[in-house]
Amino acid sequence: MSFAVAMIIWSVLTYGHFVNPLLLPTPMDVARALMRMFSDATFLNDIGVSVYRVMLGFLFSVLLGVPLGILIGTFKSAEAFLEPINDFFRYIPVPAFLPLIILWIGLGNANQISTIFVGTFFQLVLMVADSVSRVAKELIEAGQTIYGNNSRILILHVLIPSTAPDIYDNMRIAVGWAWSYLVLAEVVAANSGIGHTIVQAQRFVQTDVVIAGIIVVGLLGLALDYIFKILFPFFFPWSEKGKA
Amino acid sequence: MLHLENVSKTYTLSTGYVISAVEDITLDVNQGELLVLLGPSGSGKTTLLRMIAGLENPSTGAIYLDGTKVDSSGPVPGFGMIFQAYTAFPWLTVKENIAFALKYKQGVSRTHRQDIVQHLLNLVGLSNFADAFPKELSGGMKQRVALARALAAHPKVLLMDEPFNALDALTRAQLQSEFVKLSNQDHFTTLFVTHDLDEALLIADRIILLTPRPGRILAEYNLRSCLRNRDRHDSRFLELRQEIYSAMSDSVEIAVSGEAR
Repeated sequence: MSFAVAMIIWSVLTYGHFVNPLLLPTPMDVARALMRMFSDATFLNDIGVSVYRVMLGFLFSVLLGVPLGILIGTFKSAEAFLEPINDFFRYIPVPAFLPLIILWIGLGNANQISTIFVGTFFQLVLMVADSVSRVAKELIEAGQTIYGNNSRILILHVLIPSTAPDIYDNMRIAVGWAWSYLVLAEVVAANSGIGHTIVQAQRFVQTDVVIAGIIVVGLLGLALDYIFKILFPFFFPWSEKGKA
Repeated sequence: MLHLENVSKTYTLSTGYVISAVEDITLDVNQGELLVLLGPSGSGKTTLLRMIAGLENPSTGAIYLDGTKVDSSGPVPGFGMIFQAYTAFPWLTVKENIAFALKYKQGVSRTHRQDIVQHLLNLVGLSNFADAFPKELSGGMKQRVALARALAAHPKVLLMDEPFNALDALTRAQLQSEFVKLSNQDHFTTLFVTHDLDEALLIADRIILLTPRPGRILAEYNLRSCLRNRDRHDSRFLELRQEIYSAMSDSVEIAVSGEAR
């Protein structure tokens, strides 16, 4: 519905010649640009490269961020030690890191992967720590009355399974950010990728390609989020949230 | 079996005001007995139970299990606790929930574990729900799972913290009578906390009545010797009910007027 309204406004503006077609092409122009792009191997390769970067950046972020978040959420000492520094980095906008990343790492895949990592890692740590600290206390206590203070059992077999759906949701949010930071990194400094395509098109005032690129970015982001959503009941058939 | 000696618990509020939750409790829970701690809210019943399980430390006094002092440095295995809130682990099936109590213990073989789980499933009447997740169960069934899981750990003492509170009246009555039956048959040693006088009269071998704020022992009733049957219409039953009820309401009035001062 909201998409339809946006399309109507767009059509009226362009077909009614209210705006300069150089700045806002018609929906048909953009559709044609999309067709052209998808029949071009370079663009398909750009999509592949972008997806690869998101996956890797996100993977590193999860592999390090989730355990660290669990640690901070579980142990007061870890929280006192690690949370201030995590918060410090969390408050620095990602673009502020870009010059340093370019200097240290260059323009290759590692650049965008690092940008995604920096953009999502510190946020993910905080979200996971928060999810874990809100674990149902009585479930932990039920575990304690059986196994005493065996923290290995309590963390591995009570705390983590009970908070896993929340951590999964945290990851779903983080993957959306990963996607934004990917495009940011590719627009600023990259030799390939969807963001790079958009910037190149902007240099030659190919507005239709710019808009087509943005649409592709949006659709891929949506698809990624959708995958996370439909896999939830598969991973957590027991969750109340997954109730059909 | 379980011995509490002069156990007290005080809390210091953030305002610096010190409140006493439980005061100078000395009691014994005997082997195979179903002891009910009865008291209005604010009598520190739950606090007492949590201290025994090691979830909280007593401020003064000591707790002994089989003659050994319970280490107050943390939660103690050896007690099976059933909480008022549903604590069946939602990510495990009924069967897995019960097995949880044995799975990470050494020296319990897989086949032995399966036997125990099957036995407990039958005992609490959940054999047909072995592979169901807790979200598919009613409240009463969830508490049966919690009971079976607690029993699987083979506890020396069962600690029950108003476990049937969240249930509707009929389910509650059914679980009460089932629990008494199980208890008589398998000779559990149980410390059961409730504010419900009728529940206490129906299930207890012995009732210890607590006062509100702070919880102190007010009276003790040995139901095994003074009640022949648990018929709600039996005259002795009604007499005793009246007696305990008056004692309870007097103690609440005193506590309320004390607070008003």
